[in-house]
Amino acid sequence: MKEQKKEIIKLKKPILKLNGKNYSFSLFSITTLIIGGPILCAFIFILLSMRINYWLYELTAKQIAFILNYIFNVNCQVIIYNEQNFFPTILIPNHPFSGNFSITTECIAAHVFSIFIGLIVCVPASEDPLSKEDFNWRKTKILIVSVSVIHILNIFRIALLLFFHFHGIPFEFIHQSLFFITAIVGALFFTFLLHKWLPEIFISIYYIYPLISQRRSAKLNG
Amino acid sequence: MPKCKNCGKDVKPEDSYCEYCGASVPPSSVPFTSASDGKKKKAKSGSGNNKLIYHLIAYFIVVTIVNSIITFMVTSGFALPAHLLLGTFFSFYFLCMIVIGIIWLAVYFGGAEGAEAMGYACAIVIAIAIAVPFYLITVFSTVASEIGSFISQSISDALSEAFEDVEVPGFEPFLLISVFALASIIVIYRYHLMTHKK
Repeated sequence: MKEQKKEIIKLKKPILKLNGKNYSFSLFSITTLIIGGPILCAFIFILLSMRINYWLYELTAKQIAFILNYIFNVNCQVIIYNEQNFFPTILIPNHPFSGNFSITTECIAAHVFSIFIGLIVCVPASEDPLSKEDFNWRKTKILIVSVSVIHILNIFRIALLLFFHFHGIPFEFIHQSLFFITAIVGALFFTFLLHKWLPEIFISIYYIYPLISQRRSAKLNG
Repeated sequence: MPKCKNCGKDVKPEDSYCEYCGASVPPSSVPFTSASDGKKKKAKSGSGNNKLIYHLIAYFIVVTIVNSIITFMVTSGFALPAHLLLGTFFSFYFLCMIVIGIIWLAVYFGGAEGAEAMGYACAIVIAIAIAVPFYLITVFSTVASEIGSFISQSISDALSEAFEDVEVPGFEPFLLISVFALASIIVIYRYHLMTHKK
């Protein structure tokens, strides 16, 4: 039994050949992705929710107000409170309903940022040198592109939401519809980006199968 | 073909022992293919090699379906207790990950017997986790419930004080995670088909 265990441990890792490159991962790196990824997402979300990142809420509110004023001619204002317990507010004059809209944690897409950044940071690198050569650059590239696109998409989503609400469409209806569309588009776009620039995230999860399969085959073959 | 260092005869790449003199031979690293001995294997549901990948996919599908149902309910106007939902979701997720990790380690070190033993151990632990508090509650009902409520209140106060600035998200991240999980399953299955193309 001990000899069999030693043989299993001594087995070299399986190598996946995909798209002309070889991929192999360590068990520790895959575990980091699966367990550490969600934990990191939660930490990033908590960090973005804290008052030390109040500047992010103000920046988002000001950018939304800029788009509303210069594209949609709404003539809105941003109100920033000195007290740290209040979110910045966008005030739209002559609004048919309530003209005060707070920019909360969900409005800055904090949960989306935390999921994307947490997952990308924990993606493991393949141990093959050829597939590993520009791994850090690809990670950086995808972080920059995804964060920029999420932010721009989110700002336009909120600007459109406030514009349509200003013209009489019920808030809840347009809020749910716009979020539904942007969530689906964002998720598919993120998947496409990862598949193109960082396929290691999917390959590393799939790598669990040949890893376990090899050990079970070695065990069965004695 | 690799050669045995002891007797110099040819050894099959997948063998770990020389069939002539019995000396141990370090196995060579071969690219992973689904077929051993050059024979094609049909993918059977429930067969040993494919079981774990199907379990993983099934887990993702269940999470995705549950999230999609919850999202549909909320968009239809049904109000859900979002603060409970997030905690429940993460508790369920982490518990599943821990259990999967433990069972995987048992398979890694002990094979089928290890998995069975780990299954029994988990059942015993869960039974003890439920049976012991139940026994305490029934025998020492007043004292146990008071102590329990004091402990839970203290934990709740400590957590709420630590995270009083944190706004708990509603259902929206689940929709994003659901769509991403669905798309990921499709991409992973595509890689599975690409490796089994031979």
